[in-house]
Amino acid sequence: MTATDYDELAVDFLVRAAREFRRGGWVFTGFHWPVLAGQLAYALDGQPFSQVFEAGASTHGAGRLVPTSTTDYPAYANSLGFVGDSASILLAMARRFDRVILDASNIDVHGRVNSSYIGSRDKPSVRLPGGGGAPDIAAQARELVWLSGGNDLRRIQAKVDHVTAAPGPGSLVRLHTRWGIAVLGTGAKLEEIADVRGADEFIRHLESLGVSTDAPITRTPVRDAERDAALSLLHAAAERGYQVARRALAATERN
Amino acid sequence: MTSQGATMDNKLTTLVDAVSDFVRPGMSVYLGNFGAQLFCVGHELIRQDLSEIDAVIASGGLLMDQLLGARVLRSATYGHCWSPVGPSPAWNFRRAAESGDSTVTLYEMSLGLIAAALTAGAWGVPFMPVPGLPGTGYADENWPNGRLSTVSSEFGNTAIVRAITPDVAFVHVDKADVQGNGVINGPLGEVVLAAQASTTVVVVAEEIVTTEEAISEGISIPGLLTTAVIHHAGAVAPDGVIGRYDRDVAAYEDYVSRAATQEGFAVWMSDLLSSASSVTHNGGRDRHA
Repeated sequence: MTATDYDELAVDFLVRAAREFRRGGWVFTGFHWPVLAGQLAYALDGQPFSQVFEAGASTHGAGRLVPTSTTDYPAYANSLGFVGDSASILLAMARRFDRVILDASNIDVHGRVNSSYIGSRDKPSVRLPGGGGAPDIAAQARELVWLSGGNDLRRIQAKVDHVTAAPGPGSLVRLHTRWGIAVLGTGAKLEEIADVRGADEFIRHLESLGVSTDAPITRTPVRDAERDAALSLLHAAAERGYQVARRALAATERN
Repeated sequence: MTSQGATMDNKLTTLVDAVSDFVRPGMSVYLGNFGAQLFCVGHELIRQDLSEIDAVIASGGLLMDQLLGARVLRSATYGHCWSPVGPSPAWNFRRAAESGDSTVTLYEMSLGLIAAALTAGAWGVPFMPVPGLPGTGYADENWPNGRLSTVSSEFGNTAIVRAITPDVAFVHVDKADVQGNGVINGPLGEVVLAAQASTTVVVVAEEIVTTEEAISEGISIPGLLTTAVIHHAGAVAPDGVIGRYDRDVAAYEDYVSRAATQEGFAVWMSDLLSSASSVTHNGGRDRHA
């Protein structure tokens, strides 16, 4: 491990999330981490890809600015391709995308996410923002990739309090975390593990949830050039308001 | 003026007059657009002291948060409510929920459901078949508050969503002519459906152009649908408009910071109301309780 003045695990998580875009094809990009990963992907090697956004657009290159969200059209107008409406993306074409990449606030081993209520619905302890288009697109995704970039294992649960978005039957569901990648749903298993601080706790947590951790592959390390690109992006993202970027860059922990 | 313009109505009006003329308590009001929210219209609703509004506001966002805090709303139909910058909480939305305040009826729907409901409204049918979102709170916990149901027919069984037919739609466009032919540069969200589903459509344009220019750039909202046109540069700030101005990150963060407390939001409201408005609908009642 090397000492850094940033959250190295978050930076590497972002690189690995970006690689999902570089597998190529048409990729639906959700709010938050997926926006950053999609923007970073243009700086990585890999297959050509196009992004699709729920407001009704595809893009075919990096945004002029780091988009503050998927609805920050001026930031990515320079690379717009298809311009249509939300129904076209979320209802008419959703099942055709190669991958759907969404942010996971609270997720369970079935691949379901809660971004609505913590606690009772009548008087929640935390009212989360709600699902937007995530419920529509998750239900029809052929391959659903959830991104959970934080360091709180409690957000990976046996069963979420409420279900905002759930995968449809037969879809492949994968969860990216800073410690590794898990396949969720029937036959949930640890797919890939990183040799990083917290990995052992992550494995124990998955086991407690009934996830098989027998045969994960060890992930290949992030290259310096990839990490540099991610750091550059995070600096720009911090300027554009991203709290996760500011936290990652302000971290004083040593990895 | 073009030959078309010379023979067609000039629908130009002002923001103050449009809100005064077309919006009344108890009405259903669609507020566009997805990602380019008409903050200027929402703020005018607040200034004119409107209340009991049933808002259809797909992307919710800080505009919905402000209308909730200002007690403009009787109900809200929305997809999510937060600050997309950060992202950060929409504090009035969150405070109300976490305190158990159910004064405002919430119809929480996915964006797909809202688009389908507006399609039904536009087509003049009572409902639209939809993917039912099985296993989610929308289907199992009635988050759409009665708007989602099922039907059986000889063609099969399906989930359905109830039609939404706003009384008034405020639609943001980049350019419009005085007849209300509007040009939108960028993703459309649900805005065209909303215009088609609504009885009255008010187009809010960053720039007024000739009919020839509107046609040459591609008409997104045909004047056929449009009741009135407002020229209001900066209409969606602090959101951005392609080719004109960027989303204002600092302004977003400033609002979220102020609205994090009830007292901070009250100051924000006071600042907003200090800008002039000649019309009120409710006798200047106190909204700060």
